[in-house]
Amino acid sequence: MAFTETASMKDFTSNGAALNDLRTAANALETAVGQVVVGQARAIRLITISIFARGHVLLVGDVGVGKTTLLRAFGRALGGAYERMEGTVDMMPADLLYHTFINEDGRPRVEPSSLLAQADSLSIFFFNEINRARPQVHALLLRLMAERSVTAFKRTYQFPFLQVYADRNRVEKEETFELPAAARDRFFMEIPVEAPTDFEARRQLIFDPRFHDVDRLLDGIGGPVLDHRGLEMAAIQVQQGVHTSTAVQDYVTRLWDAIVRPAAAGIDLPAIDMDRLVQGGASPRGLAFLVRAARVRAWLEGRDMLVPEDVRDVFAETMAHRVFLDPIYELRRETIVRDLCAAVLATVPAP
Amino acid sequence: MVGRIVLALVMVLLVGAAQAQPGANDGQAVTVRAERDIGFFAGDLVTAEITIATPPGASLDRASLPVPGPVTYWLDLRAITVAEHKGAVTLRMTYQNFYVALDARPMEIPGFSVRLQVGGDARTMDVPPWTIGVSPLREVAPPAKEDPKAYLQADRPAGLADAVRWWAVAGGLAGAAILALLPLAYHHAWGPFRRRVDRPFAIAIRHLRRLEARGETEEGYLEALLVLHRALDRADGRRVLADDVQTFLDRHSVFASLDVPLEAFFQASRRAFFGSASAQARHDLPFRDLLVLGRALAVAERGRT
Repeated sequence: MAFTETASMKDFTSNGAALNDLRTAANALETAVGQVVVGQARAIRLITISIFARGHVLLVGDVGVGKTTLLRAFGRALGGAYERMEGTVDMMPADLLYHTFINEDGRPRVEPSSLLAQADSLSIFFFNEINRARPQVHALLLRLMAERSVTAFKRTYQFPFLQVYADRNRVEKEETFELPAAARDRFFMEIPVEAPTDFEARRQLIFDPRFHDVDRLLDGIGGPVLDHRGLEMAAIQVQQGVHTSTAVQDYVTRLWDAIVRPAAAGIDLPAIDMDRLVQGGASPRGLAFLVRAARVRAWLEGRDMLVPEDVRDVFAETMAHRVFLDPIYELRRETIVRDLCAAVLATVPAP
Repeated sequence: MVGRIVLALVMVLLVGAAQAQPGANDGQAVTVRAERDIGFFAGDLVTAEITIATPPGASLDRASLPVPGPVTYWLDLRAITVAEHKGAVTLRMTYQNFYVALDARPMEIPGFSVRLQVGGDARTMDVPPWTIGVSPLREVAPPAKEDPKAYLQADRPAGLADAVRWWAVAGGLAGAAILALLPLAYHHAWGPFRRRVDRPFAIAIRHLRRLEARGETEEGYLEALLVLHRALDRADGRRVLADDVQTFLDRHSVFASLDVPLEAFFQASRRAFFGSASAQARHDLPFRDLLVLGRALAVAERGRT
């Protein structure tokens, strides 16, 4: 035990300088995006965490709150290609992969879609209104997320730097295909993007003409502040560089027990039958994602050890969309899961 | 006197005749049976039973019965009850005589009509009048007194009830009422049942003293940290982490002066539990400092309301 500790301490020292440089770059990324997207500090922090954890993100939020601007800003600050696609009810998987048209000779042509064409350099793929698309499209997207590759034209296209962002329309229910539980679980985080609550930011967004033209606004970010091709390596370094003690491991395991069996953990929410509330979810993969996100948060906060505050900070965003409720509570899902997460964090002792 | 006897005899005969006389209603009989015919004084009740034979399927129309109340200036109808039998209806009449007679004389109780419903038809039955003999009251002649109030006798003295038993009952009930207050006081946390303000740090400091007595060890140090963590959690009603110190102090101003040692405590705990460097933590914040902090927190919490 003592040997392992010493060994990992040595790793910290060797990695320390690199991690510090990386943190500077991450802070520069947050600052650059924060300059053009106002009042979204929390979303920016969470997206930065997901970038350095290499996780795919589900965005939820009202229309017109700046989700696209936020992602384009990140795309610009990260470098690499940015691609956006709108989910529609008649979209088929082939539409993602192939571009079909009639050429100047009047012959039908099939060429790689813009997604495939940019496979080598694509860093952010934004799939808008994912629940408008059919399950076949979801299936292709999930494969793309899980393996960072798709097969087309008899070959496999690799997407080495890809990070998928999907937006879920949460208002309309007609002609939508809600993401199944298994699909939701593949997303690293579900990040809420709400309109800013700060009065000054709201006033600025309405009246400052700078925010009315997105292209000009994004020109404010001169160019990439870090190299998106190095993120994969950076993520590994961050995960290795943050120490997780037995105490924090116990804490996370207790959190898991509490969210899966809230009644046994002594959690009681008003007017809810706690014995039947949670039907499933909170998978081991989800818990691994939680720790991954918490480690990145610890590193962003300038620490080389994971503390319960890090876990608490990312708990709701990494766990809420993985908890599957009894159907009778599903309609009030957002408030119930929020309260459940808060109750779990308020109940489980740390250390 | 002889005349009066003759008159009475004549009256008896007359009443007898009225009783014997069948009603002139299609051969159906109406019979009046009085309790007695003579000897009624002012205020006496006069009861009579009138039986009306009814044809098969006939029913009495009760709306046609006489209504209790004054019948003539000297006679009130007090009550009337009806009993219907097969083939007959019996009316029990109770009159009251108010005739203040100066001599014995016959008085006629007026007859009345009742209606019977036979199928869809209504048929009238006449109850004939009958005669009773009323008599004067005998004289009352008390000795003459000047003051009319003197005729009244003094009130009888009220009897003395036995109060001892009732005092015992009242005492028992008062005792029961006081006993019933106990669960109510418990329910509302009144008086002796009032909850004391929770003193988690007082309990924690006792635990820390026990740990101190056992001698300083690393396990003891970690346990002491945990004891203080749980006491802080309990004082706040939620889990308090290092980042929450400021909000904790904002919520519980009695501990405001302990911000620096609390920060030091959380830093040491963080190092010990999450940095896996408990030796370093023990160096930065030794056990005796934990005791000092625990005592200070226990003293401060006495100011909580």
